Amino acid sequence: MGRFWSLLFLMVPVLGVLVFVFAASPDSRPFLNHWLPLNINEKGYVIDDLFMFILYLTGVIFIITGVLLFRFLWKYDAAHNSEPAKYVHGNHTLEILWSVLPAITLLFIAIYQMDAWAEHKMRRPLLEDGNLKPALAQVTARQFEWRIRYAGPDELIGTPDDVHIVNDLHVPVHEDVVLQVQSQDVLHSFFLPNLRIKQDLVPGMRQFSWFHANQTGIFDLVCAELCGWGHYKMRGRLVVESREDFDAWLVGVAAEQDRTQPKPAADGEDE
Amino acid sequence: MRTRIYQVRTWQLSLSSAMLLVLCAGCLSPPPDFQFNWVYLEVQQRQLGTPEEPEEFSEKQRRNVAEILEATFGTPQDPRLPGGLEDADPQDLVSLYGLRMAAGAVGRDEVTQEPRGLFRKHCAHCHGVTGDGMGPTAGFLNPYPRDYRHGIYKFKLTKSTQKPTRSDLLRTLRQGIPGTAMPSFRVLPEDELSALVDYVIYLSLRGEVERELISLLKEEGALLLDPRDKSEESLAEVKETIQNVLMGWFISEPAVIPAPPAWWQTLNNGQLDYSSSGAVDVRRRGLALFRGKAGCISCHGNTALGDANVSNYDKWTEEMVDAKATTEEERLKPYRTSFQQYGALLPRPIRPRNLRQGVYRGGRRPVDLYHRISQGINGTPMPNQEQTLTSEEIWSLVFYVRSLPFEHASRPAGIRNLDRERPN
Repeated sequence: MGRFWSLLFLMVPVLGVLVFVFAASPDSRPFLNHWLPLNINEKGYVIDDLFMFILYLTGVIFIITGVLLFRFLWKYDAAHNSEPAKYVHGNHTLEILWSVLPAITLLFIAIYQMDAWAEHKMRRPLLEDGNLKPALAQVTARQFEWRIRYAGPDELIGTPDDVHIVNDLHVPVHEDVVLQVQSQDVLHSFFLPNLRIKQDLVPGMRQFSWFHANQTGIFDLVCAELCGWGHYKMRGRLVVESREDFDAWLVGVAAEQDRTQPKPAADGEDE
Repeated sequence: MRTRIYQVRTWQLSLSSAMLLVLCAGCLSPPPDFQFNWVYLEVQQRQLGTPEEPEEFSEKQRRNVAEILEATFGTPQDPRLPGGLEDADPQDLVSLYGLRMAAGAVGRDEVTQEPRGLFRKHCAHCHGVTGDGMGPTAGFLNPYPRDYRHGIYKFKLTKSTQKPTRSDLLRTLRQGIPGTAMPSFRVLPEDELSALVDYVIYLSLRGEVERELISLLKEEGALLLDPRDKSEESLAEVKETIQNVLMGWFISEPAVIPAPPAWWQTLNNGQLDYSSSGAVDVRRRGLALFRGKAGCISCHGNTALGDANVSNYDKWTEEMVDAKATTEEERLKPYRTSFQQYGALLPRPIRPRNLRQGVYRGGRRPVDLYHRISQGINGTPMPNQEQTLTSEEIWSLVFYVRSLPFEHASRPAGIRNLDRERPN
């Protein structure tokens, strides 16, 4: 193979590590903003910690494997070795080691992640009376947009006072927010990167997602499952705002929805 | 040893040339161009002759139309607006700045970093580079994407004879059209949305002028359309055609919608309850109109499920079918024999809306629903009822239609006692 090839294989761990180092450092072009986005979810750190733990674990194993591969390629290069090859078969100790060690590691991850799973999928926020908190809104994914239906004053979805809007998800800050998410047509994935929320949407399944945002601002709402030709344009906006702003906004959208006259041209473009 | 090096070299050479090819993919393909409206040419030929034996226009005549169009409207890379018109300046309608942003290949301007090719990025894969509704993904969709070339728009707030206003088109871009494949583009910046509106109007103007010029070919002395013919008569004819199309866009303004009657405010105050006695009264009136005077039942059906008349064709497809024929096969005969070869999509009958789904393509606001009933929906069998219904009657219908998604479809109002009914 020649020693050129062993050096080429060495590039795999070296470049792999460099990519991560560049992405993680705050202002390294062209890797700007390629690390985790700002976390605004109270319980988002659970996901981040899990991610970092698995990244470090697999990172160390990746580097060891890459360096060993390089070492053997370099050392046993045919051009620099006159000794004939030796064929070895069967090593009981080694086989047990490389079966048991990964098994223990995987088992550890499986148990260690349970809390993160429960936090995001099982411990749905409760009301003061102990009942499950109802969904603030229903988010329906369809090719290629997010149709959002707020429960309105009666807090029930599917009644005449529901407030409809598209691609513009507003939620109050410093509150537990529950959303009912579903798909109308094909597989989609409801992804709020800043809240560390990602929920695959299977047509026919009704699912709930919840979070507790602790910072106001405008963030992304995107689809994280290739859902068709227009997947790239399935982009919405998440607006986290104070309770007062949220209430005022919802009243405004509801009023617009009940509009009985065209908007006068002086009031700007008709929504 | 020598052969091995040679082998490695060949291997490396083929790998690097393959990579080079991948990098250059698309470089050599010609830029997309506007497609000629062959379908409408065929429609005219069939009208001039007979459907069985169409009278063919000469290739020279066809090319004349294409050349005038290119001289007037430019190409997808370099769009132009018609100039030298006395009565109307197209730049009052379509901004050249917006056109430049929406036209051409996807990317950014090298100097100003403004976006370019917005139409191809967001719209062309369904609506087609020409705006003919025949983009690569169009065939998979039901309903098909809109063909702008007819200059007919369904969802607007202007009078039924008029074109939409810019804000009508902008609203469609922002809201999308629920129940169809048209998504919402709400998060795009304001100037990009405005540029897309400019481009849609531009494609619509171009398409309509193309149709008008093609239908001029039927007339005596149609060779006057020759672009090399600089005679005053010839220039005036082309100019007049363009001007007529353009004027249509200048006169549109929102239709007057009378304020709702007093009961509307009372019922819509606070929690709207469709089973309250006041609401039931209005719903009864709405139901009577739905089945009687307004005639909604003839298409939308007894239960408003949109299942009564499902064999109509809309304006965009009717010229490709024989609507009077009795079987589907015969209705589609003109398409099969003439239009299919030009890539036209298989015409499908238009379905009346199922009013119990609570999905309103043109918007769910009372103002939208009022307008749909009063002005009709252009290009579809939904008629203009401005003269036949009073505004009070239309408002009752709007109220009734809005209540339908909350009523059991299996036990529609009128069959049972409305007073005992509760919304589900």
